[in-house]
Amino acid sequence: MASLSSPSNFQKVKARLSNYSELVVSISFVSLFLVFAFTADNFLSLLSITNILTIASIRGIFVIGVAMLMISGEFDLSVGSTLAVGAYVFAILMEHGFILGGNQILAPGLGVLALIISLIVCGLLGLVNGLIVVRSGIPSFIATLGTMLAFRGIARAMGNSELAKTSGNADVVRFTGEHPFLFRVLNGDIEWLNQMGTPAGGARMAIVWFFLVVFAAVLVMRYTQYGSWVYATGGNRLAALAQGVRTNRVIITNFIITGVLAGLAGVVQFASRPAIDPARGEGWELIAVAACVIGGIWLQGGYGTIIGAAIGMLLLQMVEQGLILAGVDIQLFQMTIGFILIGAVLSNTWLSQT
Amino acid sequence: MKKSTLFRFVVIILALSAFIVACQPQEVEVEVTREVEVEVETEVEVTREVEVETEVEVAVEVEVTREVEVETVVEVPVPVIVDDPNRTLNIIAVQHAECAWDSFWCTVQAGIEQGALDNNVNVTILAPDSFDVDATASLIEQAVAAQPDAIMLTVTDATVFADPIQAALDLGIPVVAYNAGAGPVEDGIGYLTYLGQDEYAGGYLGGQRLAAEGGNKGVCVNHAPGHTGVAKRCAGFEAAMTEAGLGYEELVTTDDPAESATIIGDYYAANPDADIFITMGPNSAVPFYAFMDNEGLSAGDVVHGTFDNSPEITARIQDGTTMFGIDQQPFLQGYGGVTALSLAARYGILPAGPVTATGPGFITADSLGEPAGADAPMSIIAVQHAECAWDAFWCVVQNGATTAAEQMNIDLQILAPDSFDVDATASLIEQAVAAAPDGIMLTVTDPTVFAGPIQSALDAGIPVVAYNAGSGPANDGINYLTYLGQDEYAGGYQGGQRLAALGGTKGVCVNHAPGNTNVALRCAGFEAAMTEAGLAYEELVTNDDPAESATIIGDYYSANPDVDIFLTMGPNSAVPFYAFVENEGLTTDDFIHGTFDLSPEISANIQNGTTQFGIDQQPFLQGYGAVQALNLLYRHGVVPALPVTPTGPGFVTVDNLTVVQALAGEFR
Repeated sequence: MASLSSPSNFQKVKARLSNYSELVVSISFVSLFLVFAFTADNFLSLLSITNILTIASIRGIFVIGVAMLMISGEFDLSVGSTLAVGAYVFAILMEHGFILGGNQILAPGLGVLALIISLIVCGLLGLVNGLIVVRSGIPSFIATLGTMLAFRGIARAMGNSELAKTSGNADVVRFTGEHPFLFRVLNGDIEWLNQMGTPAGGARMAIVWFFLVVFAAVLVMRYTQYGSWVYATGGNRLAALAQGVRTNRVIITNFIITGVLAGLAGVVQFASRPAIDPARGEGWELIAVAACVIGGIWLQGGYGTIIGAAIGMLLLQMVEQGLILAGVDIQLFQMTIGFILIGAVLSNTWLSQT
Repeated sequence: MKKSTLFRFVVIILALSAFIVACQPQEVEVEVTREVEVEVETEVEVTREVEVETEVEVAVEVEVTREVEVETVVEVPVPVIVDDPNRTLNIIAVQHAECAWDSFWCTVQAGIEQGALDNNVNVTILAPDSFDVDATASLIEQAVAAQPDAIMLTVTDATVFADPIQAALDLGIPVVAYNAGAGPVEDGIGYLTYLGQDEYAGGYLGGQRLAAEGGNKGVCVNHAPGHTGVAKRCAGFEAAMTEAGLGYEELVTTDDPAESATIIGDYYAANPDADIFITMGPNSAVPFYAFMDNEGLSAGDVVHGTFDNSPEITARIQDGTTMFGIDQQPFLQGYGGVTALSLAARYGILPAGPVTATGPGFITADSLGEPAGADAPMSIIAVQHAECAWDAFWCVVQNGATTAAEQMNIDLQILAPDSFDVDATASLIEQAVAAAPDGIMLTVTDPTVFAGPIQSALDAGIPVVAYNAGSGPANDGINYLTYLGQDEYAGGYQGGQRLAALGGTKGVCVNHAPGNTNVALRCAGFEAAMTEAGLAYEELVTNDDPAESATIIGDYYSANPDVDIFLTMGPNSAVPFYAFVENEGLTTDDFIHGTFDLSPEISANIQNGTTQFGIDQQPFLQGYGAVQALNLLYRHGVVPALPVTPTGPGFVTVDNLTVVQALAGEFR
């Protein structure tokens, strides 16, 4: 019957759309881009575009970790604190080396070794998160709320310790020496790109790292068996277990990846702004969740893509830069983001009701 | 197949990153120079210590010092002037906190909003939603992308903010810091000025007020040892005590009120002669009050003043226990930031010093009343010893005053005699007092003659500021609020720093007016800069005869061929200097020259590279600033921070000469 065929076509379109979880965020991104292009002065300048990319990239690096975790059905609220710990470890090793009981164990300026140690520490923090969630059965939202506070405490303690050679309330660690080549690789200016426009752009290597992380994550999620395990773990854990997927191992691995990426973000950030304070990264865990949800990842897991989360992060940063260029009060930024977030959840829910 | 695709992707990624890394070489050099500066700063410290120890090593280290100065002088780029000074400017303010979640900032933002209203400026305030240094740095970067006419910001962390601020400076956007920062020199970032409290002046001026009450020994009660700002407060207080011939000691307390009260009590028991106390804020004032109550002391037994304000302090100011609370005047930080940027972007008028003091503002029992409010009608009478009608210099001053009056909706009346006449000017002041305006601004041409008339204004409760002529309330011996004019010492000092940065071995101050105190201050400042840079210094006295002066300079030069830095005191020594250069056939490689003041000859020589700069006293700012100071006091309860509010040195170099020449006669 004709009257039934049209809704069924509609259902088909809807079903097909639900295969593209990035759809909503992509449409929002393009339409907001056009709005800003017409309403905000200087939005299409090289400086503005590179600003959006650079600033989004640092947070984007750990958003990818959070996205993988959310697809496997878990949260990590401790990323901001992990980032601070990672940056402190790197900063202290670069500036002071490692001092234990008054003995200089490692000399300052370790370069790549400092980077590796910092990433390992963050990986271990991720492992702690994973073990708590898997072994205790505490929901990850609560478990990582706890570790968020605990890791923040570790960062504060490190900043105010013999290791950091600080005292009182001056627990900011700065890198004061000549910037090593490593800093330029991690987050130096991309001069050839920046010089292509007037005013000069603000592109930094963080963009490249973000791109690499997204690329690697897309490959893993799309083309490897591990990727399908992650989707299966988040989609229907019991079914996945029945299929022989070791879901606990998947979850722990994702927590470790998230920790390492948070550490990488902290180190990349330190490489261009070489000072770290104990409040660094506070509140960023919610930005990461927001970016993932706007990017089309379901809160209950099993659905969504890395590309979606990456676009979600870029969208958040584009809105901030766009509103600043449009001369709008910064307070409206949060309001706008809030509405976009709710809109994204509504449309994703609608698409999922097939 | 999948594996090979994967492999191909990895290869592409590696190649891409290698390419981007390889494209970095230009950037390498930039980084290196920047780091040299950092190293240099540490070496300064070393040099100072060495100099004390042995003479032999001094000679070695001096070489280093000279390089040091070359690198540490922060280059403050000359900002771009807007095409049309009458259009509404767009300014972005980036701050690390905001009124919504930190009530301190409501006062700062009120100042910004009032400043925006008075200056025809559109200000957008950006702040993170919680204290977040990195997010604030990103906000600065994003503000730069908006390419506003000017940016004001808080320098919470000079390391993190250096690059974002530099991006703004590279675009010629004028930048000032407010509330948080240490000035362009200490922060190592070339913004125009920092608007905040002058901590040393707070301690010094506070010490003077307390010492005036009499006593034996002053104590600086310091609950935050190690804090540089607080250390400056104690140092200023110590200087005031020493000047007054009183004893001084610093007493370290803690953040624990009960413990601190005990520490003060024990100290007082051991030193009963201590009778002047200054506390560093509520955290040492409250324990001090507990100590007074414990010991049963009353207002007559000890004299007390404090930094900052709190309900407890206000109550004690009212009951006479505490003479004053020293306020950093956050309103002025916001208001002054907007005004400084408006003047810089519209007329190229630059702040006189690296730090523009917004405090100390002394809160006393007399000043606790409410100000008139932003909308209150206001009248000001200006009495000056000359006027635009017969002395073109004054057109610029008057233009500054009338511009400010128009912006701030003030009824301004300018009085001046029809020729230079001190007595007639004094009578004009007396007549102005009779008109009972809300403020009087005047030139103190002769403090002896003007003392009586000014005192009658003060007795009538009319606030008085001096501009263009005067030397500050202390030196003039008249208790007006502040004098707006050139800081002559700073002119010599900053000029000397600029010249030393270009190299050289020995500096000479060419003084055609020996005995003139202002000129002596210029030479003293220049000498200090030379000494700091490790260079030799000498003063050369010439006279007002150009030919004779050129000969004197020539004779001196043949006797001292190692002299290569010259600072002249104005056209009357600069013109003979140019004659000397021509006589000797010298080229710009042989010497480095800077001068006070401007004239057609000086401008021409700045243009052709002979002269590095002319130091301008910025007369527009004298008229503008005097109206603004009275307006801020009457309507907003903000008092001038220092006895002398510098309007100069304003440096005119080859970079901003054209701007200055274009605005000459109206704004310069």
